[in-house]
Amino acid sequence: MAEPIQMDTKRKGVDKVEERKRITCAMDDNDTPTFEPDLIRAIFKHIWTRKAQERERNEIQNPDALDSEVGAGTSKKNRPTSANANALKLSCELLRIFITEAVQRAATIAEAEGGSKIEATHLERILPQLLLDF
Amino acid sequence: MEIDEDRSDVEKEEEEEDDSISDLLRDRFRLSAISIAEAEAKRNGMEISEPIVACISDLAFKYTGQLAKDLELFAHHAGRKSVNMEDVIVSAHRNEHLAASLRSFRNELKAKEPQSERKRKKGSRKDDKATASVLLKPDTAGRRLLCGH
Repeated sequence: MAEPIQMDTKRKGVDKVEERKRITCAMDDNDTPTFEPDLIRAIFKHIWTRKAQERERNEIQNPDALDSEVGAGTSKKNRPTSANANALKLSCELLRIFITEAVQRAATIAEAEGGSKIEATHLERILPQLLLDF
Repeated sequence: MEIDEDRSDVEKEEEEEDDSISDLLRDRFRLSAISIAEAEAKRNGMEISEPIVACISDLAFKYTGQLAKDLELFAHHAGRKSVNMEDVIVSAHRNEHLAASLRSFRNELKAKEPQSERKRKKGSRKDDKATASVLLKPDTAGRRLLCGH
């Protein structure tokens, strides 16, 4: 008899949290929070431009080593990588799955131990397999 | 020598500026990651302690950096200058179920593009739930192996 009441209070809590989330985080079709493709694009771009700059610097330092291979295309070679819109959406999904898997797996361990809160030990136990899966 | 020193100063400044930009990006990323993790914990009817959420979001950010490098490598290896969906799927090759769920997500995205959106969205919701439940299967088996249950 006590169970349904507990469930109700839990649901109210969820609603409040979700209201707050709507302000800070993008939502997908199912109303679950996900990453914004623009944010992921900015992070990727940041890494790629830095890599392109490194490549450029290396070429200046030893131009002879790469000269035969690169030839006329040097200016093109140093342009940073880009990503198309769908690839970014797919990356967002991959990153979202990474986080949800971490939480779900830790939750299963916590549940098996009879707790209702995910603690550090639970994360420690699922971490090796999680990192092998991604 | 003086010119060289000037240059290195400019470069240092650029790098510092770069770092501050990446700090901002990292914070924005963490905010999103935290809300994803908390929503997922709530969905599982679990509480999650704050340091763990922070830890997971940090992990995810590091994974993003790794992912960016992987994607660039794959695209360049294929002789392309831009990353496409296949590169993302190849980067998830370590887990078959993960790759399969990404493939179905790709098919949804492809299907959405040329046709009207309404019909596809309804179908995709069912697919999403199906892939989510599929994903947990390999992990329980893997964990049993690891923990010796």
